[in-house]
Amino acid sequence: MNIFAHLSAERLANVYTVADDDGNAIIIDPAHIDKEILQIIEERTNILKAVFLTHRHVTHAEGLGTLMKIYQDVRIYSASDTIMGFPSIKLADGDMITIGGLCIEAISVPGHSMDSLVYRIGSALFTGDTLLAGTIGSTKSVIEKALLTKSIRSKLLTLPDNCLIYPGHGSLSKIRLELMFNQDLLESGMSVIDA
Amino acid sequence: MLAQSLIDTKRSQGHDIIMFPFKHCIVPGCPAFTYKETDYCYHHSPDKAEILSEVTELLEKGGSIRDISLVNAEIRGIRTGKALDIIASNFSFTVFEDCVFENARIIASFFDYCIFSRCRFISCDIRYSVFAGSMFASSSITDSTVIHNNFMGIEAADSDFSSNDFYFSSFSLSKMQDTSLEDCNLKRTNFRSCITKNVSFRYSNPEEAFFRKDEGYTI
Repeated sequence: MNIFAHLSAERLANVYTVADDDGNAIIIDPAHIDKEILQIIEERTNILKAVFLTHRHVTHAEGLGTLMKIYQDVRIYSASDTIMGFPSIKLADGDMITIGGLCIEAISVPGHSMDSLVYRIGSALFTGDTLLAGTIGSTKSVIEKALLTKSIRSKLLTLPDNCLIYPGHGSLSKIRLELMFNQDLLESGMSVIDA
Repeated sequence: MLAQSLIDTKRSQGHDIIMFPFKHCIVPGCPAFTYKETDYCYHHSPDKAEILSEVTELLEKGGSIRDISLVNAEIRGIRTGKALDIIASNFSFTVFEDCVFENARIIASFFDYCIFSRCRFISCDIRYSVFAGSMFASSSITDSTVIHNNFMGIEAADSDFSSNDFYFSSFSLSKMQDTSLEDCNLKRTNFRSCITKNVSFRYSNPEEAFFRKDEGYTI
């Protein structure tokens, strides 16, 4: 599996292109489609098969319009029926999608937004705004923050320590590191032992 | 370097190739990734000494090191060769002592929980990499591009991190003592809950970094 990470300067968001060994590719969170993303698709992969969205916020989905103009046959996967005006295949917690050699598991982790999904491909977790290096996604209320913390704790921090985290913003991380250094989780009273 | 970063915040970040094998050691209960496409992690490999010697040679020779996982090793006294690329590799829990990385390009690699003792990173290009939980003792990273990296929870003592571009890197929950971050670009650098003692930010721009929890950071 090849993972191409690109920092979108427009949105300061990470756009990930993931390809199997045969070049079948997906894009996770097309925040902004620029020349470099198109170069990755055209030069480093054979065919773009699908787009996966971790949630519907424009910061991570704005590039969808540009992408769909160029690649009309691409399927969109998210937690909703439509996203940015495009039809989407709705995913629920635990759904598994196979695209070429990529096996993508959808994990529902509500809190930052109610439709937030984390995608797991092997030992890679694409967490969008749910879990970032050292912090968790912003929430609109204390209740949503509690929901997010609980969801992260039960669904992500129970995964193997070595799982790599590819967040929607900021640098990469590992589950092990978040258990020790995630300030928001530490402040919420969650300790390594609890997880 | 600093001026360029400050002026051109929309500069191209380039695209980085991350090709991590994600294959686990076949020893029951061992969670570690395998060294290359073998069946065993470095720790359980029957030819540990050979692997270490191979990696050391690669580091010293230069060229490209890609997709390897060398966990809990000890690397001492190496000076990297010209044009060394370390891409999508995992060196977690490794001890580096008296090592010099010069003009190295380190992309999407993991150096978490490492110990760097008397090591020097000079004129390196380090991106999308993780040094969280590591210890830097009498070590330095200087004249380097160090953008979008994870330094959470590091402990740095008697170290020099001067003349670097730390754009969008995170030092949250780290402890730094007798360490210099002079003449650095700290735009969007995260120092939340960082404990500093005798740390100098002279000629840097800490006003553009994040120090408090209530300051918006990424979202």
